Amino acid sequence: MPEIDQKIHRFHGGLVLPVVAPTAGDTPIRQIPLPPQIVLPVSQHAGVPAVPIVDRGDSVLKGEMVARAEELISAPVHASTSGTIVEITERPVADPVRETALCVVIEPDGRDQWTPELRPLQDYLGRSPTDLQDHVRNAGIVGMGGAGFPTDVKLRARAQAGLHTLILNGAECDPGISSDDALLSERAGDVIAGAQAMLYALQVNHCIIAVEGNMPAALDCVRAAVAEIADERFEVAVVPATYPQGGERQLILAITGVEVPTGGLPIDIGFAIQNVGTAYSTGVAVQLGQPLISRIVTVTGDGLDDQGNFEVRLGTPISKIIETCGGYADDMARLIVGGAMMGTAVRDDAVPVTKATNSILVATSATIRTDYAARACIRCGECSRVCPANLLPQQLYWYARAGEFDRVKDHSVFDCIECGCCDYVCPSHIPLTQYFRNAKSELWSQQRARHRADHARRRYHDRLGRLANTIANGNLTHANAYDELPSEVDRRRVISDVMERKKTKQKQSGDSSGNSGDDQ
Amino acid sequence: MRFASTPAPHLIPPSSVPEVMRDVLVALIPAAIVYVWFFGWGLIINLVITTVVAAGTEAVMLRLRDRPVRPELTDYSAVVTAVLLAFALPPATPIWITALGTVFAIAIAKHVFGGLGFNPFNPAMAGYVVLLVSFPQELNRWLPPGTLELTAQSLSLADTLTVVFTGSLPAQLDWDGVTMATPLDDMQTSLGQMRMVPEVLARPAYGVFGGAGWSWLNLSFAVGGLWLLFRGVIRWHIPFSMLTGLGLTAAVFHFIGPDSHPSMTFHLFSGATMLGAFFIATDPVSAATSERGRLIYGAGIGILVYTIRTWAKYPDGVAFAVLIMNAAAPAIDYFTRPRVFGHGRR
Repeated sequence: MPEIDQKIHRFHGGLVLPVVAPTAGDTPIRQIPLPPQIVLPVSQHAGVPAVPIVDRGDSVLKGEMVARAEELISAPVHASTSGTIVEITERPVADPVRETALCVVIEPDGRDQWTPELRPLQDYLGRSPTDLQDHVRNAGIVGMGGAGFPTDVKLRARAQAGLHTLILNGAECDPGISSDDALLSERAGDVIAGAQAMLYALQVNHCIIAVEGNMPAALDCVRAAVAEIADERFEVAVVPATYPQGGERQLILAITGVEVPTGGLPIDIGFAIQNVGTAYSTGVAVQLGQPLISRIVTVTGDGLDDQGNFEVRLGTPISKIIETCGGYADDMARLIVGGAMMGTAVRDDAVPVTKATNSILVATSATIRTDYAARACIRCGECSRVCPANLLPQQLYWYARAGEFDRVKDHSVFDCIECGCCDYVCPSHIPLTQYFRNAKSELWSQQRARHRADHARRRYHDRLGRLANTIANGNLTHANAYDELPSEVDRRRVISDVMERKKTKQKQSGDSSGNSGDDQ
Repeated sequence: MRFASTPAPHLIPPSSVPEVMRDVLVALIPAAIVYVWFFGWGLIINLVITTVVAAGTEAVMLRLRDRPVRPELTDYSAVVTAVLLAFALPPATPIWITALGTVFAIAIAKHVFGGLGFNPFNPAMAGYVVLLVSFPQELNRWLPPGTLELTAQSLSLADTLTVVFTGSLPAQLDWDGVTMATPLDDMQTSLGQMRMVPEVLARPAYGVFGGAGWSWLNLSFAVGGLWLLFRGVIRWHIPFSMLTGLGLTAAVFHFIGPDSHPSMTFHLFSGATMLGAFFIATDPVSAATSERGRLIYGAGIGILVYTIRTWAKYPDGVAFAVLIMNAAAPAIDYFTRPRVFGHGRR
């Protein structure tokens, strides 16, 4: 059994958090019944939203495409059940930035009937990697660990020099989530089938499956599945369950001891990273031809009676899941999509499950933060002790608060992965992560504003130049170029510009008459 | 249904500033007991004065600065400053001196610079040093460790109260009979008189490690400090590097000249060494923040303490050493920025 037995490297900082995920080994993955409406956001991925290709009143079958990807970094969306399109409209979504987004709303017909046009691609070895990449794209597969980056774009990166290893990320991104654990415990074979397809698409011959040390059931299943296929390209690595071990930079460091350079991507040092859920969906798309229309979601928190891992159709409103799990506890305080460290607290339980929804957390005020009173920073340094990026959050905070964004940038704010470790340990309860998110967007908007200003200035100067030319050439037919100049200052500038040019011209013609004239 | 939307992370933070400050106060309990055991009730009187004055000053300053009084007063940071200052002062210090030091610590050293988190200097030490240079006589009136009956006269609770509130001794007592030089003071003076270390240590006021009583006091500070380490309230870097800096320097000089330089253990268990290492130098606000920075910062304090004790006019140097390194902390932080993940190894 190939196993990585070399030293596992620890990243700086991190936390062992007092959060317990529903145990995947003991409770099987259950199904959520069909909801009265399926709400499919056209943007369930990073990149450009898909474009709806259905109209109100159309009937669709399960697995049929309802929105097409028209740009490179985009992904199509498929109907997760059969039924009628009742609306294409803005609906609430679980997004940290926007409250609503364009959604295709399906009223299920209850038959849950698959489209007859499912095309598996089991013979991909006889085709080109491009065919496989296109197949993955058409199946609407995106990164299912939470980021939602279109998978086919990452699979096409094989052209990059030096790509050598595919890492399957089975380390949960947030404590309290066990969806990857559950998936590996029950469907490791399909995950590995997907990984094999990914290896072909990437044209690499090495795959490391990373599993956290606190997932014994999943580990056993992965080991058994790898042993069964007897594929020498696969290795298993057990990494410590320290948050944020699921972060791709931390994971690569743990397995290989190599750091992804700042501003770079794993691919820059030869690694492709895919979540195990993404590999599973790829496996299903290759073997059965089914597009991505459901995923495993961990449902947890002390605000619910029933907890566990569920297979949920994409577009299922969270309220349906809550209903299936017995409804909210009376003192329920927050509904969080994602985990307790990085998830989004949503206002509305009508928001649907999307491709990136790995967990739903329903918590009472006994387990979730509801007091946001902050005190002054006492510079205790606990934040920098736990920072997995080895930043100095207290210094970043200091500069961010003072609005010194250049200093914030100088202190590497863009290396912050927003894991929330510093925030959690801060005895002054300062919302550090929030400060850093704001600082980043402030820096981004400054940069955009600078670009816009530069662009406008260049355009303006070009125009003045053109007008000066028009005048200098004595060619004023173009709608009295002189009068078009916006101000007296500009007119004077154009006049002096014109005089200047005339002088130069005269001088040049004088020079050239004296010389041979070939000095141009 | 509609719910509250709040930013991540959503977990309840495991600690808070008031809890940290309370832990520091709890960690001082063993030292308080030992202090009272050896030096009498003066500490308790000092504690009451500094705490009341500190809380009052804090409240006035917060109001003057238009800050919310109650939440900031209840972070207990002013109380910690008050208690540390009380531990630093001799047991029979007149009330107006104690109060003046406290007001300076809170109003000037802390609030003038912007309050908690913004003070470049440790407030308790700033207050103590102002008193030390302004009232050297009163600040050097230490009592002998009481259980040893080293002097003819001793101060009762009533006597102590008289001194504290009137500034002078009851008629039947005189200062020479009541007070005694601290072991550090005595050692410095005696070495200046060309005596040898073993001769000095043979006197009854010295025990196994250093001064009798004083070594127990240092031990009790260390016990509280280790508990703070265990609780995660302080980290090991500053105490370790300060004690190592002091200990190694002392060991080197003791090795070179054992007759003129007392041993490492004498230095580690004398004066304010352990108070400084675990409770003063570890004040995060005025210390360096990076781990490497804290090692340098602590080592600097340790070496400076030795330097001041050995070659300067003052018998102990913890307060000065801390303040000097406080001033150096921003520069240390600047030069010890850790290598950020993914940035080239230096």
